[in-house]
Amino acid sequence: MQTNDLIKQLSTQVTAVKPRSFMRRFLLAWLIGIAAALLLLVSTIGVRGDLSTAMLTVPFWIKWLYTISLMFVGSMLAMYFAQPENRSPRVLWWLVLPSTLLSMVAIFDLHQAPKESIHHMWMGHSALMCPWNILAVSLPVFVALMWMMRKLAPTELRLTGFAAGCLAGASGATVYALLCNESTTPFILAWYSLGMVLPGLLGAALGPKLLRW
Amino acid sequence: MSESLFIAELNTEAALRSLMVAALAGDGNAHHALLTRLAAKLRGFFGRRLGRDAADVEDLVQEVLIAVHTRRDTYDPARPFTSWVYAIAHYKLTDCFRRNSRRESVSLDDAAELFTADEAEQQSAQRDIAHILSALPEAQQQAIKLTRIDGMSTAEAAERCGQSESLIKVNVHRGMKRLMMLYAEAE
Repeated sequence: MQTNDLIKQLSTQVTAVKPRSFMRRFLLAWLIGIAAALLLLVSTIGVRGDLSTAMLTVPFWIKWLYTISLMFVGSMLAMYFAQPENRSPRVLWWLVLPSTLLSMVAIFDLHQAPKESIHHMWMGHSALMCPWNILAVSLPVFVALMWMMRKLAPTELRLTGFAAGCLAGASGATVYALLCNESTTPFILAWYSLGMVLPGLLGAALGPKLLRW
Repeated sequence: MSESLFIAELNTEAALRSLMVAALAGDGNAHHALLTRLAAKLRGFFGRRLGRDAADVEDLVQEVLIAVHTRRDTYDPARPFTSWVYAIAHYKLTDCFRRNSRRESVSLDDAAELFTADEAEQQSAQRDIAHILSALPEAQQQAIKLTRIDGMSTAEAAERCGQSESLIKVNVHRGMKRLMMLYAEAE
C-alpha cells in the first residue's frame, strides 16, 4: 500500500483517546489475571481452612504487606516500560526495597529466636513446594500481562519481560498466601522471594519473543 | 548544535506535539497532518541508515506510522513528543536489523537528529568541515575542532586533548591562518 493511502485510512475515523489511558487497559488485564489465579487456587487446592482467623494475625499481614508492596512496585515498573522512551534498567532497583525491609525484620526475628528453632524458621514445612506453587499460581497473571504488554509500546523487551514477570510473581504470591500457613519471616524472605523471581526470570527469557511488536 | 538549528528543533517539537494533542482529542485533520509530517521525517531517518533499499525504508515508515496510530495512548503529553516517536522509530529500526540479522548497532545519541531542520544540508556541511580541516596537522585540527566547532573553552579543550592552554591558542591561531592562506590560494 502507498504510504499516503495508509495515512488517509488511519485518519478517517480517529476516535478520541485519553492521554496515558494505556494504564487503564493495563490494570484491567492485570485484574483479569489475578481473578484467574484466584479461581485456579480455589478450584484446585482451596484456601487454608483457618483463613478467617489467620487474617487477623500479624504473620499473615507481614506476608501480604511484602507481596502487595512488590505488586505495587511491579505495576509501576511494568507501566514504566510500557512507554517506548523508557528504557533505563536502573528503575529495577526499586524491587530490592521491600526485600531489604523484610530482611531487617527477619534478622531481628532470627536474633530473638532460640537456636533450635532457627532451622524451622527458614525451612518451615513447605520450603521446597512454595516457590513452585507461587510460580504455578502466577501463570494466569503472567499470560494476561504478556498479552497486554505487547499491545502497549515496550522497547526493552527483556527488561519489560522481567518487570511484568515479577509483577505476575508478586500477584501469584499474594493469592498463594491465602493457602500457605507458614508464618516466619525468614521463610517468607527466602521462598516467597524465590517464587516471585521465577516468573520474572521466565519473563526475561521469553520477553524478546513474546513481546515483539 | 547551532542556535538556529536548536530553535528549529524546538519549533518542530512544539508543532508536532500540538498536532498530536489535537489528534488524541479526536481531530482527524490534525492526525492526517501529523502522520504526513512524520512520514517525511521518518523516510529521511531510515533512508540514511538503510541506504538505498527503498522498499525496506517505506515498510519501516509505514510500520512506525501504524504504531504511532494504534499505540498513541502510551504517549504522555507532559513529555516531549519527539522522543516518544524517536523511541518507536529506533525500536523498529533495531527490530529490522535483528530480522535481517545484521550486526549493526544503532546509537541512541542521535535522538535529536531525526528532527533536524534540514538533514542533508547539515550532513554535507559537517563533511565539508572535516574535509577542510584534514589539510592541517593533527594537533591544529584538534584544537580548532574543540574550540571553534564543539564550542569548548580553551581550558576544556586543553584538558580534553592533553595540549597545554597556550599550545591550544597557538595551534588555533596557526591553523586558522593556514586555512585562510590555503583558501586564498584556491580562490
